[in-house]
Amino acid sequence: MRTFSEVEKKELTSLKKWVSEQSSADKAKEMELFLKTWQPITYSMETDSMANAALYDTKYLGFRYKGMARFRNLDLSGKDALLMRAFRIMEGSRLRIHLDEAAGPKILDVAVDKKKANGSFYQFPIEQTEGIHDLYIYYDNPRMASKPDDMAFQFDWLSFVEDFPGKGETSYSENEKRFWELMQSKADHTLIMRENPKDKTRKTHVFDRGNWLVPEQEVQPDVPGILPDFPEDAPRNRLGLAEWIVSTENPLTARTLVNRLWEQLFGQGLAETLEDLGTQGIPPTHPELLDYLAWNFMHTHNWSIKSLLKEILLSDTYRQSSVVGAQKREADPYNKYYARGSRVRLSAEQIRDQALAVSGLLSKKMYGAPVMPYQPEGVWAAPYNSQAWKMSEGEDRYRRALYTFVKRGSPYPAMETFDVANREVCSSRRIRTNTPLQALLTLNDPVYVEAAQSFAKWIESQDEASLDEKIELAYMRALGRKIPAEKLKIFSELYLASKLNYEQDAEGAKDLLGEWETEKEAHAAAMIMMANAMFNLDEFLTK
Amino acid sequence: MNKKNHQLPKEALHKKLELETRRVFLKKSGWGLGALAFSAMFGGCGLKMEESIPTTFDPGNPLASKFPPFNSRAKSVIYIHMAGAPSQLELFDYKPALAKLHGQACPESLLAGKQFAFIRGVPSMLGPQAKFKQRGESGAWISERLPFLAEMADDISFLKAVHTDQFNHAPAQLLMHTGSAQIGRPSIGSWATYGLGTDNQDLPGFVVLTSGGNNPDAGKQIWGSGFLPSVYQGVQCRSKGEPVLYLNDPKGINRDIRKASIDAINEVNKMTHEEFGDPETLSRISQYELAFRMQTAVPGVMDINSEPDYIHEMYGTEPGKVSFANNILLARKLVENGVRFVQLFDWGWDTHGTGPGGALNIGFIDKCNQTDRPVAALLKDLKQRGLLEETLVVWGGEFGRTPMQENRNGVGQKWAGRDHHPDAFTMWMAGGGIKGGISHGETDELGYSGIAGQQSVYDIQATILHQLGFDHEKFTYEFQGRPFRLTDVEGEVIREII
Repeated sequence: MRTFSEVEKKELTSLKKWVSEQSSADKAKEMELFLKTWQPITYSMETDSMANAALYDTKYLGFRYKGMARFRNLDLSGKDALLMRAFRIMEGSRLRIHLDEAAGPKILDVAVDKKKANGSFYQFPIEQTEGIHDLYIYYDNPRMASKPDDMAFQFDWLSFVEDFPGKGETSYSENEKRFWELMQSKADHTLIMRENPKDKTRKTHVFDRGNWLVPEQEVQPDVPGILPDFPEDAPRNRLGLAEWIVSTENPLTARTLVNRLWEQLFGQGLAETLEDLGTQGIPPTHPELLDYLAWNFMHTHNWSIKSLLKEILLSDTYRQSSVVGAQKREADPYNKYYARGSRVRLSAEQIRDQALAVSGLLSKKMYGAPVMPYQPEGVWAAPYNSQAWKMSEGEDRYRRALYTFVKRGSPYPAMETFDVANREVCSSRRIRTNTPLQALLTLNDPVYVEAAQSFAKWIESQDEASLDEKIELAYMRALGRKIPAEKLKIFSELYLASKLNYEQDAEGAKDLLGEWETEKEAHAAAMIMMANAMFNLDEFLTK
Repeated sequence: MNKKNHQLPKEALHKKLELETRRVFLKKSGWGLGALAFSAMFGGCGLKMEESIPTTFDPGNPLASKFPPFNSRAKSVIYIHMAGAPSQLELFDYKPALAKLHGQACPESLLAGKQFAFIRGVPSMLGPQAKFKQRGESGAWISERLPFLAEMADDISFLKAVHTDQFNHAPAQLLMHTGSAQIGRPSIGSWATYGLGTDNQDLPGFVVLTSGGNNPDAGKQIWGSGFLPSVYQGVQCRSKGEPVLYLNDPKGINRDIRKASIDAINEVNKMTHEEFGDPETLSRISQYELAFRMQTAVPGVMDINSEPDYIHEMYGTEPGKVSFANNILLARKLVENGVRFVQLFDWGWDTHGTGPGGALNIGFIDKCNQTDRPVAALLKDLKQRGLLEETLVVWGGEFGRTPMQENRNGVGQKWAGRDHHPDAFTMWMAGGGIKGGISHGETDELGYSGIAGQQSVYDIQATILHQLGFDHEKFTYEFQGRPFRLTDVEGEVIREII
């Protein structure tokens, strides 16, 4: 799906208006779809037979001297012209198309003139014909006779189209020009899925005992009989399926989602097997509660996750303390009775976001393209691809983890370490681990060092005078609770040891301070060590 | 198995083991006792050891060393993958008949029903681009390209008729290492560390080393953990920069200060544990101690400078460089120090003959020269240290190469090159209980198809797991409603070489 700029959108609107007037609203819609998706088309790799031609780079059909390729079963009804996207075209190229057999009726015989192209798009009028045909495309160019092994004409897709409407009208050429400009626009594009047009949909059969060589009766899109019926008025496509999935007759969707949200809050689902609420899964510990929340999610909260979360978060169950006596812990080691608050390690994303937020670095910018925060050198790998990891500038370095650029072949290492789903297959549940590589990350990753610098700076910018007051304030900001006296003592000792160290190691202090300029360097460096330690506390990493 | 019993081990796999007593017990008991403990705890699930593999996954100590269910021959594995697929016809599979057909058009019978990555139409045959000799007492055929390895022929089992069903690099590499051409399954090294943990907790259990200027085509998925917990994915160690990511203390933080800060963190965490009694906090304390030790241990092992001169001479290593030879030497140091699985990838073996770098008589010779000496040195060195018996060394590519000269896009080529060929290629194994001096399997007179002792990629995987002490059919992990295994529904242990 191509996304046009605001200016282009206006152009498209006037173009559609004009096509509507000259032809019909349906034709205008079709044209809009084609401009936005470059579909429907036939890819050049769909050829089933060729000579003096090859799929270069295994993808795009290229003709050599006296090349030929066949395309099967194309619908030419009502079409006036061939539109193709072509490149690497040698001077003197000619294309010829015969129907249904090598010397069948000729519908095109034309010189390819680069000057008459619109960018890479070429359109040639054809002899009109009706029905579905096989196409024999010939390439000729006498100049290539001496270089029969060289590729002389390459294209990646073709499509049969109707003439641009309104020929002879005053603003014809102006609108035609609009069309070609929009075709060539370097619009951003997003991959989307669309239903195939009718002539490209296939028949689906039941296979006898799963053997695809023995097709039995033809079947239509439907859902398994054991599940609720497909809504009667819904279209039998993915839209219909979506309607079925969120139908209030279908309790499974709401139960699944509620169970997942519960897991995010409590560290375990009401039914532990998030991925399987069926017979192979572990039954919910509180089935009535799951049903109550699922029903409310659909009917009271009207599918609003925020509203549902509010209900759960305000419940007595959620607001319990996680302090627990040995006896209670023994009686219910997994907290299945929810007699205490849950303790769960934060997710990869939350850990990063939290450190950035506490340190004051977090950018609150929303939406837009993904960003590339700091990543160690030599990690990013993209063979056969010049794409580089270029560190984002300014606040984009500190966006929420959600905005980090994702590439399956080369995942962002800091997230990987904290058990982020690897996105290779649909992951139904993350498993939380506890490893030394995680410790190394929050201790040493420059992102966390920078966060510690920024946090220390923030502490210094506050009015607290004494060291104890500073530590109290820092702990309050990082953990939202008052620091107990014994912990305060440990942090102040760490501060003193660090300060002593940096008083003797001015160079080290400078290194740790980075760009922070201050007169009290040893003090500031010691504050950074204190902040760094706070970001590594079990309490900090755990909810 | 009834439903209830089926769920219990699954829950055990996924759940945190929150009771300290239980955790400590499992930690101490290792694999075999752990399994017993499970069946005791769950009141006789009827799981016999031979029937299931209730591997004890403890998220708080996921890499604890465990015993395999069967006697293992190999404690660790060094898997050398020549990414791009080296030509068996220039290294191990000697085909004099092919030399006679050199330059002639390929017979139609070889092409019927076949699909190639780049060959189109009718290519011509390409005779061997190297001279062959029989080596050692076993008389294994090894070409002039590998003079050093030739000396070790009697320690190696050659598999001469391996086949795969993928003819493009990324899916074939994935199949070789994860048992599936689609992404999403755990790699062999992940399975190994999931099942066995690792012996040296100060080092990663599954280490990946790459050379040749590029990572393999399939990306990091080929050392990924798939649906296994991510802790089992390979840790890529680098010979330049930090050997392991985030290992080095930040600039300005010295060891003493780092020690003081980790001590402070752990002191506070101890109080936290007193307050909440969460065993996860105790794990975190030990992980921070471990992290501190790793910071010294890893650079120590990764530093090849300390190796004596004769070792450098033997491997052809040059400290400070990123090279295959350095990685091979590191691999030896890593297994010597208790690392379970070392996976090497060397990029640049894709000899299509589209340029001099990929020509069988130019670039390919360079690649052989870069790798022959270190690989042979590794075998020799492991042997002299008594480590070869317990270290399984595997060598191979993701597929083989055609006996035909590639004719990309259906036209002739200037350089000698071969296309991808999945039907027959050579791999070898040595050490870790593998017999020496065996050549198992045979291809037809053109080296096009296996005619005896054909072995699939799954057979290779089954054999590796077997040497590590696992029955590949019973070593499973529950995922999306069914147990998964590395070899899916295939694979047989190659009995002829063990």
